[in-house]
Amino acid sequence: MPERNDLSAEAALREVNRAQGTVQQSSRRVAHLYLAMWLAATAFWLLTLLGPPPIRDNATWLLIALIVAGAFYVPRLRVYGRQQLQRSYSVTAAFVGTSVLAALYNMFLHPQEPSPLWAVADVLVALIAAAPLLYRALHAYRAPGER
Amino acid sequence: MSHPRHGLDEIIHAPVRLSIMAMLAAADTVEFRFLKDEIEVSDSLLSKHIQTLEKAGYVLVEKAFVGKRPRTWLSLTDEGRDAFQGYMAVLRQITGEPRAPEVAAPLDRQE
Repeated sequence: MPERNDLSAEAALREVNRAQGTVQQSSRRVAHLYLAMWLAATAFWLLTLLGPPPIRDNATWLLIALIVAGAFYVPRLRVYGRQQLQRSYSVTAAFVGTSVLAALYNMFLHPQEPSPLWAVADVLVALIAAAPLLYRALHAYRAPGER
Repeated sequence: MSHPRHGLDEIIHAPVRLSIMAMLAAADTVEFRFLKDEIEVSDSLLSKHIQTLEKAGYVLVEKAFVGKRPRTWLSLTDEGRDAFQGYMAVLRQITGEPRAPEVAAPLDRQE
């Protein structure tokens, strides 16, 4: 038997808006995190491939900071949905893959004194390496934005 | 002529169950823990309300492992989605609020 209560229609509408707002906020938190990680990853690869030697050497710290921040914040994200969670796993796997490819490019193809043409390739590699993170951020932003 | 409030689905029109239905209407699936944290109720109370919704055929409960952790996922059935949309239509009729698009499609489907 359903329980009776004195919930007014106005209060019910407010609760619906509040409850649905929490789902949207969860999406936005995911989007903010992935956007920040995309910016950091792109900066890391640009500095690693194009920066002067002292900056290039210290860019590794940016990568370490990125990994530590990700490891700290990702488990604390309050993810509501199964698809949302699965998408995050897929994007993490894709990001690891593109990062490995970028690292191989840096180790075996990238010259010590790159010409301007190599700079174009470096920018492309930096963008591709970080692209999965941007993809995830845009997906998460688009969902609440359309509502 | 009867007042539109008589058309409110009493299974949905209860504080905890309304919150559950509203969140499920905004996403394809929602994890039990997320619901518990956002609605701020105990595991047992939430389970009780979910059982009521499940018995009514409004909610589908699925248990699965993510890694080694067991998780419980909830989603609206087609019947549940129709019931919630009907409930919202009655609410808006009572309050005179125009139809809002936000319950039309879940976030996960839009993604």
